[in-house]
Amino acid sequence: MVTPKTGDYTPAEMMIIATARQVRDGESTIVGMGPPLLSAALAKYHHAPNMWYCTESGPLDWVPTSRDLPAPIGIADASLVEGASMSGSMEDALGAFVNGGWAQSAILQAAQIDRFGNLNTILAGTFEDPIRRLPGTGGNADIGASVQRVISTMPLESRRFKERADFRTTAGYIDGPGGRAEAGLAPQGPNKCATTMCVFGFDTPDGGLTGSCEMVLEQLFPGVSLEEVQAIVPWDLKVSPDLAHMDPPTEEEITLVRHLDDGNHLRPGRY
Amino acid sequence: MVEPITSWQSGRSKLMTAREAVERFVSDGDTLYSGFNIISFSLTNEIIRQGKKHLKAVAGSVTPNVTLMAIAGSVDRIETGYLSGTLRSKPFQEMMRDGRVKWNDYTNMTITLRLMAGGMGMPFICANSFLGTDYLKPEIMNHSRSLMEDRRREDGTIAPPYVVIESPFDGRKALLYPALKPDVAIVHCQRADEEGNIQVWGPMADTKWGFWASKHVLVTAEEIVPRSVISTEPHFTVVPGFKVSAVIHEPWGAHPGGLNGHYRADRSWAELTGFGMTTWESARQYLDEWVYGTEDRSSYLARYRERFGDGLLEVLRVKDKMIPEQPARYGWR
Repeated sequence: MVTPKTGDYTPAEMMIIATARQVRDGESTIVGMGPPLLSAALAKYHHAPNMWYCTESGPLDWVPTSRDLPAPIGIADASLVEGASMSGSMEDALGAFVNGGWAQSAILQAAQIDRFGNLNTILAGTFEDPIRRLPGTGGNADIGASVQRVISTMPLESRRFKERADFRTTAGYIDGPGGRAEAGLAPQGPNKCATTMCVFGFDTPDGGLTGSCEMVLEQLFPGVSLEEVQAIVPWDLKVSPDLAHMDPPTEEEITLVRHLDDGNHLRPGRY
Repeated sequence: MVEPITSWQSGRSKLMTAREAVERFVSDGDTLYSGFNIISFSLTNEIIRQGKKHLKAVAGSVTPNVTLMAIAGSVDRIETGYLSGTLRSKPFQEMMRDGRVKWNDYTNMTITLRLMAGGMGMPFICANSFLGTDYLKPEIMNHSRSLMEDRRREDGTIAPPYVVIESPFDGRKALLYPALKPDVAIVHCQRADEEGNIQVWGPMADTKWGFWASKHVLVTAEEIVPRSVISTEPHFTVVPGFKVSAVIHEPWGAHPGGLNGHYRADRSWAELTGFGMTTWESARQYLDEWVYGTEDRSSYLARYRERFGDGLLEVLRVKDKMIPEQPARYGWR
């Protein structure tokens, strides 16, 4: 855990809040395993009460049955079903909802992200001799192929931010402009990546056809400098001409995150 | 009051014990749909006790029941999208590294679709999940611990695990994934009748297609109910009785996993026992005590109560069973 830069909150809490701030009210969202479940719950409670909160094992359109409930901790939690409008299946959620093109956004965690926004959830190192094998893609690859916009989230660490991901499990903009179209995928974006120090966007005016399709530093967390971020990212980072500092968490956001987390997603040692 | 016609409800009873079900329907070398959301640890343990070998576990996500079967020497091959909790075990990681466990990676959705293709008798199914990813590299498809032997064709060549095509209709790129047809499916459910009409509520994940695709479906049920209860809420039936080979009445059959409406997952189980399987020693201890050392689910539960008391189990029980307050009505006259 990194020491808080400023104020009475941790970088991990700020990452959850920055991720939630990317979610728009009224949009349909497929929510991935882990901290995304917490970020999406925060968005739902805080500024996006009409978002469609859906998870891949089948619960669609979760509405918390009580304001006292903690965020779900798994994609098949009983609490997700009790408040859902539909308890469906994998082919409903990933098949029709996501691949059918109805999911407007996804919130995904990953082990690594690269310069062009491709995600890695399967291993560190090489496939034949990994430093560490991870659980695998789950629905990450299915979602990256078809969702309209990806909000990824992970701590800003040099082992996670790579010029090229150790393994591309989930297509972002692949090798740059035209990559998605060449691979047979629809345009996507504008994608975002929320970290423990900043929020990145991507240089993609039309979802991957033109522009450099590279990651662009858009917002710094309070007290974080551009130099500190560049020191961790291993390539020459593009910086938005509108680079600004993100507002610190409001009292309401930080209270909600701590209430919703219930010690599960931000437990000591997770980051 | 019209007298129900009971003589027409002619499905034969498939009630049996877990031992009998595994003896009759699981063979060495089988492909096993091992469950995704509701795991039958009861049948998992019985498969291990009977020393079944060389099984291939398949499911959208595989769970620690597959870790257990792999460490015990029953499972040596896996096709899945996600190793859910499976990798917490160092011995299991070791087996993947040295090739004692072989596997090919898919995704949650493509495994579901492959089971759907198997269930519907189609040779393959189409999806775009791996476009633009490293899964398309030949050295990944046929990595050194991959299931190439399982994919060997009659002429000796190796079939790919999936293949990129251009649509003959509009030239759009997509992937074909081969149908999956497991020999046997194991799962736990909330309730079933004797004939095997299985009712499940909660997120379904790939369960339905796991059932339809598999030759034999073996189900442990928390409750056995009469056919008349099944017919009150037929929308909860996942597959009809004729598709099911064995029904086992096994309360707590999903423990240490959870069952919507009945009990939560036992998160203290790994601490209480060696279920985390973090070392070979703890894994063997767990197997000796909780699998080989018990004859069936009731002796497992008896041991649990003896070791930890009734209270610990009862704490997992949900307060209200998750059953609709107002069941659906199918009014027609």
